[in-house]
Amino acid sequence: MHRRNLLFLVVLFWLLPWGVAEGVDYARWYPYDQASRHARQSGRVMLVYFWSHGCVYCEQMNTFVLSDEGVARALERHFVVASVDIHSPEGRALSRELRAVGTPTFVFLAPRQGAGPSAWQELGRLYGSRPRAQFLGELQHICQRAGAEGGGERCG
Amino acid sequence: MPVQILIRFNPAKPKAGDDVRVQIVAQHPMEPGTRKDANGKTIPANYITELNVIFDGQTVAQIRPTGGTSANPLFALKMKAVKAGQLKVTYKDLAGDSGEKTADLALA
Amino acid sequence: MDRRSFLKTSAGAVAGAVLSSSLAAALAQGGLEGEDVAKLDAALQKALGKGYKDLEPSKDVKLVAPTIAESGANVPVEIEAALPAEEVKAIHCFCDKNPTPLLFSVFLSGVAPYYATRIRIAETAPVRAVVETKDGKLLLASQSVRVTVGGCG
Repeated sequence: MHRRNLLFLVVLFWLLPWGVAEGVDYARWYPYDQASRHARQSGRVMLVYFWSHGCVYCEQMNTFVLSDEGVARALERHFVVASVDIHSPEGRALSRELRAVGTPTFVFLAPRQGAGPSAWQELGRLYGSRPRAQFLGELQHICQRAGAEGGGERCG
Repeated sequence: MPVQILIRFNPAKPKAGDDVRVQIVAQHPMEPGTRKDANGKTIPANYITELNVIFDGQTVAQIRPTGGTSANPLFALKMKAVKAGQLKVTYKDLAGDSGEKTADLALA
Repeated sequence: MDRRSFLKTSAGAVAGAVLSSSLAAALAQGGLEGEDVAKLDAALQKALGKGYKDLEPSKDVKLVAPTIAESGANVPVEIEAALPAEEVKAIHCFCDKNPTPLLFSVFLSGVAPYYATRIRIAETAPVRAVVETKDGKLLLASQSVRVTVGGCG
């Protein structure tokens, strides 16, 4: 009976999509280091989200845009999200490196061969809050750009 | 933790027959159930679903907010100050928390 | 915190053109900025068992809300009916584009037909004040609130 269970597990793992088999939950957001590792391993575009406490425009994004079903689905399917508090020590260093001046800022980075600055290709950046439909369109645009440049999953 | 409720009358001591504005403020997050936390997790909904206002034993307003009411909500009503009496506010939220608060309306 | 609203110049020009043409189209139809009648209608059916066509726009309903809100998280609204208190059963409020368009219902008895609170608005859309009378009428006042897009820093 153990053998049957084992077989079942093997078949289950084989059937599961890659993301789940890797044990990475793309529905949630990660600290920058973790997100960049997941992006490298999966080949997905990393979305670096710079936010700050008390910023009403981040609050608007958190309450009505990033939580929107369509937006959340697009993020889960095609991106890895790095959540960065711009006022934390790590956030200050990253915001200098990625030239993020305010919040909310969204920087899209595709993993590439190489080291240092050439390890990531910036596919786009957005500054400021935006309505749900506009943000969804922008995500699709970035996803298509990533597909055109590096191959990968269909956007939709 | 019990929810703090503040009740204010404006004017504080109205003349008999004048309009008085009743302002109720509750310290409650009114979580709409659509907000993402720093880890991208959705914070579960928890907002006040019922707030009843009772003056001198009679229910004068049954307020039914949703997650569309802001955090630390204000609920304001207007009534004619016909007599002095006790105003009681009772509430219930989605997490099952409930409570009440009273304030006395005095006339000038 | 230093906050500023902004208009993006590059994509903003295109977005602005799209916005103003859709706004012009909406105004030509007598509509309000950000209107979504289909979504509102579904919410009305769910909350009141009535549709948008059952609402009567009325000058007796006064809705006070800002035309522009810096934050959609905390928008003051005040609703008052110029009707005798005993004729009013309830005051309801909706916002077309919210995930849950019903913002609140208030059933009144023995107090003035008045209610004020602060609401959350998802994005630029009309706020709808619906006054329900005891004889079953649904009186409507609408006003669009533009939610500023912008950033901090």
